[in-house]
Amino acid sequence: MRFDMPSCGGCGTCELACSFHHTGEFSPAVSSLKVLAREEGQGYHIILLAESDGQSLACDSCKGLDVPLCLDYCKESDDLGRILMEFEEKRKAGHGKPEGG
Amino acid sequence: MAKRDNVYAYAGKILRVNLSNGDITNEPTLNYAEEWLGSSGVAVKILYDRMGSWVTPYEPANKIIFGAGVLQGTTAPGACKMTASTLGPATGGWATGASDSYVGGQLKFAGYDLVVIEGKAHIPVYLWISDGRVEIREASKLWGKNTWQTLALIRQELGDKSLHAVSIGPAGENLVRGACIIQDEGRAFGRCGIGAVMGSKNLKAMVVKGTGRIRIADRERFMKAANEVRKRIMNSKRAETMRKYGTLGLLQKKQAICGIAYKNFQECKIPDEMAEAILPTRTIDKYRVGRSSFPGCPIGCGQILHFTDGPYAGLTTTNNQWEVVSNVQSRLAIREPQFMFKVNAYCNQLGLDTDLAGGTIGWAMECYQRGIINEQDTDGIKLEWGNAEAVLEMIKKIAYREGFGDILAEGSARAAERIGRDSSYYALHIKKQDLYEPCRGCNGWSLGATTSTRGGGHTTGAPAIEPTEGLDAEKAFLIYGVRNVNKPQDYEGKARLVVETETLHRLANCFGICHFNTVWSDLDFMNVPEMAELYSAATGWERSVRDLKRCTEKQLHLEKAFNLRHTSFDRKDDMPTPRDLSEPIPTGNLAGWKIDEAQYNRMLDEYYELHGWNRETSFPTRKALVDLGLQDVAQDLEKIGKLG
Repeated sequence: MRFDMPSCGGCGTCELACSFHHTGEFSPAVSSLKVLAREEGQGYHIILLAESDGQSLACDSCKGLDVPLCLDYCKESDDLGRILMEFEEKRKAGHGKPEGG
Repeated sequence: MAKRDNVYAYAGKILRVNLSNGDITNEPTLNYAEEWLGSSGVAVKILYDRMGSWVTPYEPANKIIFGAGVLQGTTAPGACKMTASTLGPATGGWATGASDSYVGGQLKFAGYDLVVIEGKAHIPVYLWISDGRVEIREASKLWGKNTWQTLALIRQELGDKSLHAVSIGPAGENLVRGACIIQDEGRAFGRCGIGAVMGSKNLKAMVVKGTGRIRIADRERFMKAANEVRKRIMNSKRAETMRKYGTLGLLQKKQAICGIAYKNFQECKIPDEMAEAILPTRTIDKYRVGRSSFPGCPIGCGQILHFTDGPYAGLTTTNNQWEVVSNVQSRLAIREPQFMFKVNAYCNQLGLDTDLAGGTIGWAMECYQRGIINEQDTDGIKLEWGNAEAVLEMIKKIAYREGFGDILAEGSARAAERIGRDSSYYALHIKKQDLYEPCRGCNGWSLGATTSTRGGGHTTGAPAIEPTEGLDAEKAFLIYGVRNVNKPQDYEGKARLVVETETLHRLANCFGICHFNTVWSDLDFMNVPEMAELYSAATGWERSVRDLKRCTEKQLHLEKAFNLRHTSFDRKDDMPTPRDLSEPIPTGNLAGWKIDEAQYNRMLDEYYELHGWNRETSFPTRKALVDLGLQDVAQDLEKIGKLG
């Protein structure tokens, strides 16, 4: 699922943290979220995966952790937090076809 | 250390590309890692070992070495820096620069810690590196384009808008002595003219994409160490300010300590009403439309501005940092508040070091003021203080080496040699590289900046912390071992402060950690023991602080030996400019303060003693080199009569 995040600075630290959570190694290629520059204007799209797609692994909501790792590392955590909540709601409601990464 | 099968933290390979014959080979990073750590540390070893004294900067035998930080590609705080190193055209000696760069992380994921580029391509080319596949691609459509156009065209050609690149602009193509390498559209491997070396190889850009992984030896230990430091930095007041304004919140502080250039350092502060007029924080708040930050950084200091009005309406750009304010805006007395952002964007596009621009045009403007040069020399351009249009026009001429720009492209030291007319006094340089750093009123900073092996620079040993208001002297003592860190006008103890900072900076450069995440910027941030912990946990090699200090001391000695082989630098090249030595600060809080030459020389003596270098010449002694395991280097220096 694709979300807009105007305050995102594009650092991609969330991708590093997410991949580490899944595999204990750093590899943005397997991350459940992807940060993509928008076609027009500033800010970034955040893509969140409800299902695994190729190398990229499905988001497991960081089960076992108090705070999802991506959120813990994000400098704009209020905004990312809102996006994660929306993602969870949509996922429960049955959305979440695999997005092309 | 035992040989290892598994590689942790490092990607594992050093890529070698020969542009003359297209040969592409690689060797294990672990051949160098234990002794030289990584990035610029490994680069100086390769350059020293494999380049004869006959090599000059622009010829094919010169090498450019890109180095990803050892901790790049991990969540180590601020580990987003890559280095580029070479034999540089500005000083003729050791040249290195670091930049935030997505390319460094991608290199690691593609399997490489360093890329060594040698030879010269017959036609313009660019390098495309992806997951073990390396292509030297034809770049005739890119040659002549600015760096922003280059990035867009490469992304189009390779069909991937997310690609990151480092590239040169027209300045590098035209071998401007202060040409730089730009990452994506902004942030630069700025100093030393490294971009010109790339241009001399017909190498327009390097694009990298990797989908591999970086492994960590002790995951729990690494994350514990990283999180502890990260949270401290992320939640600090300093990070909060930098997140909004980068280093552009510093103007009033710099005014207070007489640390800002005005009219080529004729003054060390700017008129108060000018400071009010150009206040960068106001401009940022008005035109900010987005943010820009780099992997792993808990600060995130980049701002994206879009100008809806004013002389540069329509421009969208990332912000400049403090250096541009002092070295181009206020040094040239420009009152238009948007100018710093415009000139930064323009220099990014052209691939031109903003320090070269400010330094060489500053010299020219002072010469113009004093009637040493006139409009006949300057192609009819009125180089009057404050003339923003003239500066932008001259920057273009420098990048394209047109008319008077061809002289200025050489940097102020060489331009003054060309023009003569007793103009050298106004060329402010160290080892022939244009100097940005204010060197009056802050002795540790001055010593670190002027002794820098890469020719005047503050990221290889100059302490930034000295003039911080209300600095906790006790805390500073625990970190730096010096009691009067908070007394910038003291001479005593500053040699030791610089030596400690040299270690801090070199470790940060090797590990790829941005200096603003360290105690260089804030006493509560990351210090050497924490870097040692991160490195040990990540690599699985237990390295103590003492170990790592020895590594960085070795690097410094090799940089020094490299300079001695390729240049005629000695003690005189480690001193401040004649202007800084002889003129008192004219106005402001430190009005009347002047460097005490006798005390300054004693400070420099002490600095040499701490390193084991000869006081008169600055040359390393045999003992200093042998103690570091560099007996071969001692023999090399003895052969050329430069053993201390």
